[in-house]
Amino acid sequence: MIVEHEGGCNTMLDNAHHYFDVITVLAQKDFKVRYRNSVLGFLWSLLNPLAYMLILTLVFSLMLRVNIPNYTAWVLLGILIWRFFSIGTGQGMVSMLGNASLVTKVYLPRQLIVLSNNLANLIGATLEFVALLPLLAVLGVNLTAYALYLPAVLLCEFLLIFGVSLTLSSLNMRYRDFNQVWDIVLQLGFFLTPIFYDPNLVPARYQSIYSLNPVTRLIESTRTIFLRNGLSSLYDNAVILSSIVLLLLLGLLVFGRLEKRFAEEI
Amino acid sequence: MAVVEVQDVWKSFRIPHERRLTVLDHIAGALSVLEGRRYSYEDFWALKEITFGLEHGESLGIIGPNGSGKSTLLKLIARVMRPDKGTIETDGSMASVLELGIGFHGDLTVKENALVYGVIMGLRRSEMRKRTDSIVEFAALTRFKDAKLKSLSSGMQVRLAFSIAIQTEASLHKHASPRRDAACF
Repeated sequence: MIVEHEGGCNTMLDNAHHYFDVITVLAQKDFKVRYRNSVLGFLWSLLNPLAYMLILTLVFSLMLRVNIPNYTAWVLLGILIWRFFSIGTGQGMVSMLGNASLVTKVYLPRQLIVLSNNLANLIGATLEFVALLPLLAVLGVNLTAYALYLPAVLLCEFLLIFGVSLTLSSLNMRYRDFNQVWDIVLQLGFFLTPIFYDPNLVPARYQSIYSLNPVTRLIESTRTIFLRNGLSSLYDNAVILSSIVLLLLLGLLVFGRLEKRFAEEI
Repeated sequence: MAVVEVQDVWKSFRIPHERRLTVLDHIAGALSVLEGRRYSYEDFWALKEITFGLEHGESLGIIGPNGSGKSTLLKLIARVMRPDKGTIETDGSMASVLELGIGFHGDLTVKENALVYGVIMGLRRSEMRKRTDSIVEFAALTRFKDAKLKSLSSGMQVRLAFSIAIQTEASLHKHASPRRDAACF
């Protein structure tokens, strides 16, 4: 048992300031490191989704003739939301392994390491959306005031990613296999999420389970905001918010239980 | 009240007789248990019933051969690890200098690394930005302040880390901040 006598309010405030600064510098660090050593830097974060958009448009709109109005913009929104989730959880999962000295050589609440990494990805995803907004306009999307709800969607997705990352990163400390398993889950997720196909094509008897995927609800919310010029449905919000609460609770619980041995397992 | 109070602390590590890292290893291990073989490991007690106290202003040096538990004890006090038994009480806050250059990243510049390390050691970001130039100067690395850390020699990297560590410590003491009451090296 470890008892720490804190000097009351002052020290708590001191700690809060300290942690805030730590999160800031670690998030900045993760963000900078991602684009160092590459000539095109942040441009890659735009070229990658654009390439996917072109490929999916070519295959599904031109060759398979999927009948969705403004398919190119529709698919781009799906890709951007999915990308944030897959990169965010994938990197969040290994964030502590990449910062081993912060786990083994100094005391910090280790959740901060995961949180900073997720924050760096939130900033990245936000910049991707902002940079590609003009393209959406060129593709014929009518940008209205509803677009101002995008930050709320991204914030929800960030919280979702934080919850998932907490669970994954702590499990991955014990069994490095989870990294491989999650890769496969993400590949499966790419097809179980309506990124390039109409979610209504899923047979009715599977709809009730299928539509509980929070990433699907985030994608649908984003499409409602941009393409249908409306607010995301009550159902979308209910699924998203309850997933956030559940996954955050699970993440904090699993992380808290496994954290005690992190310094020995890394 | 002592600044550090260590009461009957025990810490063990497992020395496995077989290596289990992946799920497959564990499945194989579980199967061999079913066959009657036991998952075997030895407990290695790095620390047994350690008890001591340190008052404000006191210092304590611990010497011993490799693997005798010096770092383990420091890591327990720094809260990086948890003891199996016993209690550790600390009053105020702790600076652990178990290693120099915590959080250093080769792709960040000298100045960027100084900011990260200084903040982790407990300085405010605003404070750290003001001090970066003098830290880099003290490490005699002014010419290289915008070079990536990985392009520096290992000696230069240690110099930078050391310079940040002592400057942050000096600053935290000067401001009589409640953040630092004990330090372990």
